[in-house]
Order: sequence, then structure tokens, then C-alpha cells
Amino acid sequence: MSNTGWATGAPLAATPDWVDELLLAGEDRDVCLHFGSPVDRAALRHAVADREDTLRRLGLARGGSVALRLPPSLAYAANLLAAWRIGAQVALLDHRLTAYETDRALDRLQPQVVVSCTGTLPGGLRAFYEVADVAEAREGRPADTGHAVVQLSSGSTGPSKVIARTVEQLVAEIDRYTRIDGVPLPGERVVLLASVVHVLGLVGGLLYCLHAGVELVLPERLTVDAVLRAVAAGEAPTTLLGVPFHTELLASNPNPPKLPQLKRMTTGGELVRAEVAQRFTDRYGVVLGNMYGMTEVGVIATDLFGEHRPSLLPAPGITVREQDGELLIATPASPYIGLSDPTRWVDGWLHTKDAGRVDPATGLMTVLGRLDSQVSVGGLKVDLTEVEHTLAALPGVEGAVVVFDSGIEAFAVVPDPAAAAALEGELAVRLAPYKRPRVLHIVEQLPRTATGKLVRDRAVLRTADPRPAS
Amino acid sequence: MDAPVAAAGSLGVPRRREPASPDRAEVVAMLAGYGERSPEQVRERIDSLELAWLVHQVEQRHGRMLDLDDDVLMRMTTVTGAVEALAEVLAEPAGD
Repeated sequence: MSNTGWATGAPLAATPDWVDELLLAGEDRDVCLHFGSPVDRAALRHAVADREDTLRRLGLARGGSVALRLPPSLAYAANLLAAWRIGAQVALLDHRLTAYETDRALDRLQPQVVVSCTGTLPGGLRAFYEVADVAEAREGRPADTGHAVVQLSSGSTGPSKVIARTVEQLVAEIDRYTRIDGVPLPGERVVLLASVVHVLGLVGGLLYCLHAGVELVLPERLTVDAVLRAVAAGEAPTTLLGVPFHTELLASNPNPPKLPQLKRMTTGGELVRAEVAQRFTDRYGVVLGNMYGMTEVGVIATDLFGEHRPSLLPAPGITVREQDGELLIATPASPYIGLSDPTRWVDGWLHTKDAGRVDPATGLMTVLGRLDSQVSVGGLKVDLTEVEHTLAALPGVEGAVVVFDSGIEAFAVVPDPAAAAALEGELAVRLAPYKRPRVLHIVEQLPRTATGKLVRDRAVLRTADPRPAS
Repeated sequence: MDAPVAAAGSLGVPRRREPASPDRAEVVAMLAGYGERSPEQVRERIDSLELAWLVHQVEQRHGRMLDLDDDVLMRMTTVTGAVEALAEVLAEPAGD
């Protein structure tokens, strides 16, 4: 298959006015976003100008730094684009991080302005929120680097890694999307189920759609009914963009309504299980595509027609190679700020920590699983080591092992019953909900190998004696 | 000709009896359907993905959309909370 999508011209260029030229341009009445109600380009430009005015009045300037602690919302999109128009570096903080995690992130990043929202967010399967955003200046410092966006990743050494991308890299990723066969075309719609704060929803959803003239729709809720209603609400060919869970959820509907406008579903992250993929395509009669990417790079490889499953074709401009069973991506500079770990990026190659292979004959790559302790929880990457270190550092915890088997599961030695009782509460302060163990076993002791190493085999761990009730 | 089996509703349409609200074992069984797990692999705490899954399974089983506001959904973050909240929601007449 060739990569001859609708963009056949010269690659997109990152100019000082890239936000206006590549993202905001278009007819005033052109509906570009749908966050509960349609947002046309005039309204979006107005919302961006409004936030830009606020951020400038707080002193944010070119080369400055701002952190967005906003849930998926029009306010989030407007602040992000406003900060980029100013030429500031934007740190994206997941709104689900606890206050403890957010404080640590702000200590590390030292942004000059923080934008957050007022009041308590409503719960309940929301794909987006209507929030009142408030920007506050703080004693921060200008951006240390020329990157446009920084994101924190769950880190194997406990604290988060700081992943950074330049305008040029973001623009190059948008350009890649335009050159991949099977992406949504101008005039079409995307119903986005993945978070617009993380790379798939941010670049593959928000930025690509704004650039390409594709209407980006967020469903009212992340329920089957609301998602299908969002698809049915428009006549233009529609692509569902989500993670494997969303496919499994939608595929569980035995009698979905006829949706002639549904063109394709594409998922990022791990591969959808074969039987779920078959069920989905049988029930909806559309193609199930697959993408592979990383926060550090964005989209790396795709199989949008489901014809190479489980393999993928590297995206235009991406070079992948296999070394000792690991997939490496050619990247001219390290995507990490303040990290000198040579096992992650060396000599122009990013180590994905994904096991995989590259077929020299076809160029197709196949991802075979993680080589480290990172797991995916609903498409969000969580490093089990971070969870384990956090748990082990809590008062009264003498030892801890965290494993994953369809959910994060922790085993801890906590002799003091009072400390044990307080453990879940302590974790809730320090870890965002998606990082917390789904079940916490308090045990007498942790099983060890003959040489004294902690055993991480879940079957063995489950045989550990529970701590007797006192 | 046989008489209608079920008592007619106010519009004279035989009403299908709705299944009882799911008990704990049934909620666990529905959750286990996600990822094709065994009931033993289902944890007490329900995350947002499982909640979306559970709501859909209940809607399928009862043949009706559930009117779940934020407060109800916030209570459904554990198996126990979900059983209680579903009992209350399903006791209400269907909105259609």
C-alpha cells in the first residue's frame, strides 16, 4: 500500500504564525469543533483571542511557560492555542492528577502561569466538560527549552519523565497524518473517544482535524448510546477515534443502529483482541484500523484498513528499526528534558521499550509487548514502578510489589493495622485514580526467590498469607 | 382466542415484565464480560471504563436507557455502590 493520502504537496512548514496558518484558518461559519454544541471557526478564534489577552495580561510572553490543568473542554483547546500563538511553552497536566501529583509537577516545571478550572468537576463518563477557566500568574521561570509542549509520563524511576516536543515536531506529525491513507478527509467528521489532552486525541484528533477541516465531535458521555448518537448526529462520513476499550464497549452492542455515515473506527494503543475486532466489524460493517504511537513521537505506524493486522506500516517520514528485539525510532534529538538515561535515547534513536520486529522485505513492523513495567490502563500509560515506589514510601509499609493482571494489583507488608487501614487513603492523595491499585492485599510477607529477590509472579503472590485481622 | 397473558398497561398494550435489578453476583458477572475475565478477577472498585461497560450491559438487559445523573454515576465506583444505585434507578419507571 502506498502512502498517498490527500496531501501530496510540500511538507507543512512551522512558521511563527503556524497556529493561525495551520490550525485556525478557515471560513468563519465553518463548524470545526463540537463540545456539546457546535463551535465554528469565528467562535474558536474569538475564544483563543480572549485567552490570549488574559495570558498576555498576566505577563506571558514568547519563550514563557504556562501549565494547563484543564479537563477536555473548549477552554482547554482555546488556552492551548492561545499560548502557542504567544509562543509560550505549554505543559499539559492531566486533570485527574491529584493535588499532590500536580504540586510535584509544578515544582518541577516551574511555569509562570497556571490555568485551571473553578469548582468541582461533575463525574460520570464525561468526554468533555463545560468549565470556567481561571489563569493565575506564579513565581515561575521562562521555558528552559524551545519546546512548544511538555507532558509528563509515568516514570519507571518513580517520578515522571518530562517529554517535550517542538513546534516543528508537532507540525511534522500533522503533516504525517495528512499523508497516511485512510485518515479522515476534509469535510468529514471525527467522533473522538480518546482524551484530547493526550497525544492520540491531541494531535490525531484536535490538531489534525483543525488543520484538515474535519469536524471534531466529542460525545456527551462515553456511553454506547451517547457515542452512537454523536455518530448519527451528522451526515458526513464519520470516523470513531478511541482506544481498544471503546471498540470492546461498542462491539458488545448486539444490535447497533444502522449508521451509514460511519466509515471507520481507528484505535491507538495496544491491539484490539482478534475476537473483539471481528465482532466489531461484523456488527458495524466498517473497517477497524489500528495505530501505534508514543507521546514522545506521536503517530509512528498505522494499519487504517485493517489489512496488515497485527502488523503496521511505518508512517511517512518515520524510520523504525529492530535492535535486540526492541523497536527503535529515528529521532534527531532526545524528547526528554532533564533525563540523561542512555537506555531511552542514544545516537539519534529512541528506544520504545516495546518488543517488536521489522520485516525487512515489506517494512511492516509488529509490536509484541512491553519490555519494561509500563502498562496501559484505558489507553493511559502507567509505569508499575511508579505505583510500587509510591506505595513502598508510605508510612508503615515495609515492602510492596505491584503487578498487573487486567488491573493494577498491589501486595504490601504493613504490620501496623492503623497504617494498613490508612493506606488506600494515602494512595488516593498521591496517585491519580487510573494509577491506583484496583485491589490492595495486605500480606504477612512477600514471597522471595532463593536469592532473596521479590517474586512478581501473580500466581505466587496470591499464595502469600494475608495479614491476620487484629 | 387466548386472553393476553400480561395485564394491559394504561394504553392497553401488554407490558413485558422487566427483570429485577441485578444483584451483586450479576453485576460481577456483567463486569467480568469486559476483557472476558472470570468473576474472581473482578475487583470491588469500578473504574470509568468498567462503569461505561456496566451501564451498557444493564441497558441491554433491561431494554431501556438508564437516566443516570452525575451523582448516581459517582456512587457506582464500587460493586456495592453499583448494586445499590442500580436498584434505585431501575425501580423508577422507564422514561420513555
